[in-house]
Amino acid sequence: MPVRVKVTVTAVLANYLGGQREFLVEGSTLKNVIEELVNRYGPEVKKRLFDEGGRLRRYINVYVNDEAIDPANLNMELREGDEVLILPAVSGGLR
Amino acid sequence: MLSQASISLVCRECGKDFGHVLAYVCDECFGALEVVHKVLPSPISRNVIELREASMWRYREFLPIIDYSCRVNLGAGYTPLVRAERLARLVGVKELYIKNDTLNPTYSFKDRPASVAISKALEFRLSYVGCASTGNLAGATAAHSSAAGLPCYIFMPATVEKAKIKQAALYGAKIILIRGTYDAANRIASLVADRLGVGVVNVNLRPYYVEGSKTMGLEIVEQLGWTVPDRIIIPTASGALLSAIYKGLKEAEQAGLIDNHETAITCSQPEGCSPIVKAYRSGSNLIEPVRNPDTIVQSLAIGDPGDGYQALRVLRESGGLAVALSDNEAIEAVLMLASTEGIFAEPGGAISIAALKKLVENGEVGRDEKVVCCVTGSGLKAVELIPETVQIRVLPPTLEAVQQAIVSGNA
Repeated sequence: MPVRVKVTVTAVLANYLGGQREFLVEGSTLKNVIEELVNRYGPEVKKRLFDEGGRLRRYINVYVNDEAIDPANLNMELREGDEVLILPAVSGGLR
Repeated sequence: MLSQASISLVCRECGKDFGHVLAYVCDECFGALEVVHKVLPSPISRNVIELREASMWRYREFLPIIDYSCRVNLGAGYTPLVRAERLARLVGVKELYIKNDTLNPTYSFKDRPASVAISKALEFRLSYVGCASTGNLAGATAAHSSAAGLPCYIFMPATVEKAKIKQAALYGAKIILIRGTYDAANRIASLVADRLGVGVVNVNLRPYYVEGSKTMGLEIVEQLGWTVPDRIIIPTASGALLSAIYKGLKEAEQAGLIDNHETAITCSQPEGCSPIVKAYRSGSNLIEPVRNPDTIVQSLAIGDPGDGYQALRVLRESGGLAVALSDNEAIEAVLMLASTEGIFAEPGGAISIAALKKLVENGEVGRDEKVVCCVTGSGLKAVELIPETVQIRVLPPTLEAVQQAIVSGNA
């Protein structure tokens, strides 16, 4: 069952989302919700959130109601009113 | 003084060059940005540096400050490098030095990055600053922002040692205690930086902030007569200090101050929060965040290390090691360091000594090595973590009672 959740992002991602930092998005899983954002704003957003293999990029952290989510668990179901936060992790560097 | 064109922020992942701006994440790939000194003055004369003030600012060519009038200097750095002969005998290593960073203005190494970050906040004309902290950065940021005349907001877990909270508050900072882990405090600080334009030293000022810690590496080589040790052991939380020390050695090499260095950079973390050690020891390229750190070593309790991947790369590139220590081993190291060398560190600061002891015992570190242990924070701010080890007696003011106690060994 699709539910409606609030998604919050910071400036760097907002640049690709029409400058907006908060969204109401429908979807039944976390993955659906992120895909819905990608559908709304196009391939530029997708390229930045997911790597070539379709995995969430390593230096992006996703939280649901302030709980950090394991990137392997994007199929988790969401409930009406959940709050999703997408934050760049200050990390990276292992080439 | 550096010119604007001499430093740039560059993405560690995709290499995009952003120039001299206030940013911390690449807008192309979300990778972390780092300062690249495009023109390192080469060669810098050792003599010129040796004649300068006894602070981290003696290495000003290596620090990313453009307008020197914005510098906020409380005298951080140029702390003693102490030859520790008694402790060396105890742990069984030939030549041991303690880099005693408990002797900074706010009693931890965090004064180094805070000094640079608050200077940059003035340069970028920011109106507010702050930090997310496990305790020591709180005092360092609060002190430097008070000297800069900038309002300061500190975000830290409510479980941080009381002395650290009180210290930061006394400098005039607004303290916001978060019910949760350091990582939760860091997340809130990131949102505050994003929404309210606060210069959070270890979030949006981070690329500049971490540069300050390079000076610990530069000092070690200068204090060893411009030579390098075989190994530097570093207490590790986010991985920023470890990475910065290595970068400092690299830049000293590029500037002609030292020959090619082959120093093994070595990481020490508490067992209850050791994501970098785990990745290194298992040969993994993935750092698994620790959701709920379980250690009394508060100052190293960062479950999702911001510079973890960079630290992992440094450990492998330098032929280093990584080791996790129990809380008891960290406390034993505090007592060992205090009773042999007269240096009182917090458990998170002395954990490098525990690491050395363990690595010598299990044969991973040779007894003939020349080792530097970085001791990063004072024990006075974390006395509540140290158990009462001896019973202290109260006696009447008579010679008889005192003499009897001394002779019987019960004083």
